[in-house]
Amino acid sequence: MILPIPDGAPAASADTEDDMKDGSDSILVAEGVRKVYRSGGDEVVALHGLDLTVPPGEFLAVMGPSGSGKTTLLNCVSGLDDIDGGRVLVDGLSIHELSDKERTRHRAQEMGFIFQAFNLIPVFTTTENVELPLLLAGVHEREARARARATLARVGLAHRLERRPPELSGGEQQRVAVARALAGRPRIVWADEPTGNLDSEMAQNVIELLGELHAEGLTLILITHDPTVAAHADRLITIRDGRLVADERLGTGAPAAVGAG
Amino acid sequence: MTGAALLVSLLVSLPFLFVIVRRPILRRLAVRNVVRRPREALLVVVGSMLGAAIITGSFVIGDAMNASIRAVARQHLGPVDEFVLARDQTTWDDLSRRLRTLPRSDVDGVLPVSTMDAAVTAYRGKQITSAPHTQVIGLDFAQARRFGGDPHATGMPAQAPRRNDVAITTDLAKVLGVHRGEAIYVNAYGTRTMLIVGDILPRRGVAGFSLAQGQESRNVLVPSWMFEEIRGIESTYATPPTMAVLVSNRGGVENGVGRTDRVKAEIARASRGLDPQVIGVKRLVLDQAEAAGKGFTQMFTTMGSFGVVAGLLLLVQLFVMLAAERKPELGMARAVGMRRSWLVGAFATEGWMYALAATVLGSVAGIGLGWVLVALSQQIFDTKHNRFELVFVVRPASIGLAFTIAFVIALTTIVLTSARVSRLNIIRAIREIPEPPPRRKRRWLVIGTAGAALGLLWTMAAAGSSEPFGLLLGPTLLFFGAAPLLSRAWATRSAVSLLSALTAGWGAVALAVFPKTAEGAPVTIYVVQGLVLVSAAVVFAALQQERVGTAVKRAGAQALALRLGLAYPLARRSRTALTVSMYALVVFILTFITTISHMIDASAVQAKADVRGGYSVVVDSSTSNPILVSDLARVPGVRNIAPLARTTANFQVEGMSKPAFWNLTAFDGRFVANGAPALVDRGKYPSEAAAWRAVLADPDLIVVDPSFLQTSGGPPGFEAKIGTTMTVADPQTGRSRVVRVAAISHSDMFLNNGAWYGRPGAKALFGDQLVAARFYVTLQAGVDPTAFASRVQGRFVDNGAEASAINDLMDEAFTMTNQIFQLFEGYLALGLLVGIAGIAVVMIRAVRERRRPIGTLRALGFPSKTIGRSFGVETGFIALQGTLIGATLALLTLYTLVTRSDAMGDVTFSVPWIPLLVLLVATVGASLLATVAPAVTASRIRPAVALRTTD
Ligand SMILES: Nc1ncnc2c1ncn2[C@@H]1O[C@H](COP(=O)(O)OP(=O)(O)OP(=O)(O)O)[C@@H](O)[C@H]1O
Ligand SMILES: [Mg+2]
Repeated sequence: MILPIPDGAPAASADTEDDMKDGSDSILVAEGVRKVYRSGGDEVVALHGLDLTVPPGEFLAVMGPSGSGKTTLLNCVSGLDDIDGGRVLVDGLSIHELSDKERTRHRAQEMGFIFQAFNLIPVFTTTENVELPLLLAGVHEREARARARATLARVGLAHRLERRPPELSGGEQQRVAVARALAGRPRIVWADEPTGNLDSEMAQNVIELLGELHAEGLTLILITHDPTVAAHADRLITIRDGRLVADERLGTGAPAAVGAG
Repeated sequence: MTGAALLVSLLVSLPFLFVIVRRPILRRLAVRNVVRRPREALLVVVGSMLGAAIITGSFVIGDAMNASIRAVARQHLGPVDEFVLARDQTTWDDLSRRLRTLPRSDVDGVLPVSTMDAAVTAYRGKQITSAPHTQVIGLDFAQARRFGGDPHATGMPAQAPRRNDVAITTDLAKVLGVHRGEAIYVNAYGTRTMLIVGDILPRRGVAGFSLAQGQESRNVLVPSWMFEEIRGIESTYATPPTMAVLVSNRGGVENGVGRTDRVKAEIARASRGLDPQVIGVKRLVLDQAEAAGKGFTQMFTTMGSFGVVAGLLLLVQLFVMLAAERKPELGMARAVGMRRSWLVGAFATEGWMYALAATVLGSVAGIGLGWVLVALSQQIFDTKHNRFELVFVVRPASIGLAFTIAFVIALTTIVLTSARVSRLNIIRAIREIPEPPPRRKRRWLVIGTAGAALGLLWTMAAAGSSEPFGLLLGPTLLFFGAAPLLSRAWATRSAVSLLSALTAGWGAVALAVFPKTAEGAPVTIYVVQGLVLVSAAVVFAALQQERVGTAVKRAGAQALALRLGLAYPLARRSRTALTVSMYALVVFILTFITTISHMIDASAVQAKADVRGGYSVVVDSSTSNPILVSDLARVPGVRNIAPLARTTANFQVEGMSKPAFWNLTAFDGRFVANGAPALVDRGKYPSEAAAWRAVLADPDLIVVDPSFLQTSGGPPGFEAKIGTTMTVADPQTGRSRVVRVAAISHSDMFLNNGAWYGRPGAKALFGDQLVAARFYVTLQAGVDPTAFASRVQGRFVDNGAEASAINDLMDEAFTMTNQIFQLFEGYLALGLLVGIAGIAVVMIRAVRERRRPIGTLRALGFPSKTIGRSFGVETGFIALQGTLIGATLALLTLYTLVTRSDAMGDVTFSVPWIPLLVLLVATVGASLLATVAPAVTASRIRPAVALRTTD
């Protein structure tokens, strides 16, 4: 069940060693990522060779009009989906070269996901939902339960431990989803419009929670349509028609370089 | 009949036809759903056609039985409706003359015949072929052909054979291997006559005339003068020939029977003073055909009903799933102002189309199933000592009836389900919120309490009168009626759990607590019992799912596949309960039948020893030319011989309007001395031998076995007991005597001894008719009974010897019983197909329903294998639960029945572990196999794609 992934890059073969050096100080490096959707005879190029480097501990916001390719970017860069060109290094590991099995393990150990549509498992209780990533990472059952409860307490759901998702409000569900993404102490959390279905107060709530976690050193990549949400980030990139069109550092006001290097 | 059945189908369809014609919106809704998802629609149809197939198949096998026996009426009797038996030779001529005066308005044929039992042999090259138990019939050929309204139906030739030649039936020709122009040798009354075969006649009408059990007619037809010649000088010790007159009623082969009563009265009037026995043979055969056909249909439908119910559960399940998928659409329809009744209408109309298609397909499949059942039964019933030919027929009336039954059942299920489905709260449905605990409505409290009171009354009434259905259903009603009341005082779950446990417990032991009830109960009681037991147990299990799940999880530590696989069935309890019930029902009846069959098998060794007593071989010979004891004693290997005289007698017990035929075997002191068969019940006597001796000495006493009168005309539910009295009469003379059952013997199956009666009493009753032509033989040590039997058969060909080792005969019967049970098991296993198809469908749908959660899990890092395995876990959990519930309940029921009552006959309880294990493994294994495809689909779901699906 548990694939021990050593910190940093695994001992890779000599010819890839060189490539990996580029990203040795970045947790995420995407180079020329291309994604083409084919449905029937149609081809939709959703990402046109996109480059992106994210240092560890960064809070990166992604914005862009609807259909611009944000979700596609997240899916491709996180390894949820395959790509049609380029490569993605996470912790120096070229994830698309891994087998599905290895990639899945990697995901279980290193990543957390929060979706706009919550995507909790309806037949599991709140606690069980949050436990899942811990159990996947090989944490012992009793400890997993304790940690799940603690995480739920942290997102303010200590009183909803045994409820099933359909019996929770949208905000509560999203907080469970946040707890689920965080319980396994991942290094990167991907969030695709986590506040899209929430009212502004709830949204604020969730963002503050994410902010706190980020303050603890978590790398956070967050897609949003909401500029006030994006304002919490360290850095904001903008996508349009599958291309990176803006990359700015927030707070300092100085624009970061577009692309890698 | 067909018309009426189809009319009913049409009537119940009227509301739907109305919707289709007059409500275009509903029609569009209904039709579009069928057309849009053709695969789904096909699944529903295929899933629900089994019910119709089982019902139709049961009718077809019953019809085959009926038709086969009816064929016997045409082949053995043809125009013959009444058989008038003269008391002796002198009254015969008078009788024939007087019967010629019967009114032509009712009677269209009178034919004097004389018959004798003979052994016929022939030579094929150097080889001798023999036909023991052949009937020689003396008659006038020309008169016989004119007998009745239709010469063809008589089977007689237009041209009588040349002088000195005889006609034989095809059955005899086949056994002897002789052709026209060849010689045969007829042995009877100590003389041997060579005859030339002048004609070979079909087994039909007068030519095929036979009153014997089997389907074959081995006849030699000779002119009357030749009959006298064959008979020669009648020896003193042989059953004399039978002198009779055949009477044909006006009307065809079958519809002449309507006049039987009137003709019998006319015969009695015309023959006043001669006192002949008049037997309405045609009506006897036709009644038997009807009864046997109905019995078969009933037996198969009774057992099949478990499969039918399982099929209905599948239908409900499929329908609920379809409805669940269409929830948003239904919500929209409601939102734009469609009334609920319209929704039900649209849904039910769609269901009507499924039901119609499924029933039509099912009926066709059922005809095929019936054909298979007939072919298999034919093989089973056709053994050495039980020749039976089953004909496959399709009677439109039966198919129409089966269609209507299946259609009405399916339609009712669908309408009820549609009504239930459209009542669901849309909001709750969309958000997949489980059904809330039932609100405590005053209405339910009132209805429940009334039901409980009714149940109590019913129980008390049934306990008083030993009525089995009330004993089972009364307490069930009482317990479930009490649920609302008890839920007030207690948590609903605990209350209902307790009550369902009580119901299941009661269901398992009820018949054992009232053993008398079980003994006379119809087989349908077991269906009711199975349904009560299984539903109570499934309700109980459904309420205890959490506990079951926790137990399983604890056992499985922290395997994620296990946790995931259990999550869905545990969360969707009513759906799980439906699937579990399908398995439990079918496995219940399968275990029941398998265990009974096993117990009968296990009793075979003892049964053989019981029936055999001290003997190892039975020898039969021709009654007109019996083997002499002194001759048989000279065969090497013989130690002792007990001669037995077997005849057919008329028996009448209380509750019978007319007497029925049953075999009677007369024994003497030698039979008891050499070790008479064991007794089931020796009555008041200190030992079995004492009981046999008492019966021998006292002509008022008789011994019968548990099957006595049960297959021919006994009163319904009759079972002879110690002390039962009856009238036994000589069918020929009508002489009778009232006798009492002194002891009960074991069923001897193909030995067919019938009732045991003392020789002196029998002689007084049956006179010269009674001849010792059967012999029970004990052998010297080391002599092989089977080899000995075949030696005897060869040596006494002229006496029509038929000898068998008693063990072989019993084995043949047990083999047949065994195969019948196997046929039942195979038939019942069809129900398993429903369960397995059900789980496959449920899983296929589940994968579609769960795409998003699966995508999420994959994103979280769930390996694809774990996803696939979780589906296996889910199936295994459901199938195993259902299988265990069904098997356990069946064993429990049988245990109580066998140990506490006589309903199952003379067996001891034992469990067929190996077959049951095979059943269990095969069931669960097949279910897992059926889940492979959906599991693979599920494991291949790609997270990025699945997460985009909107549902
Ligand atoms: N499976 C698919 N097949 C074909 N085209 C697709 C598929 N999935 C996405 N697309 C197309 O790819 C493009 C990018 O889609 P994507 O979902 O990444 O946009 P987005 O930026 O996340 O939009 P939104 O803000 O609305 O969520 C769109 O034009 C979309 O239509
Ligand atoms: Mg998107």
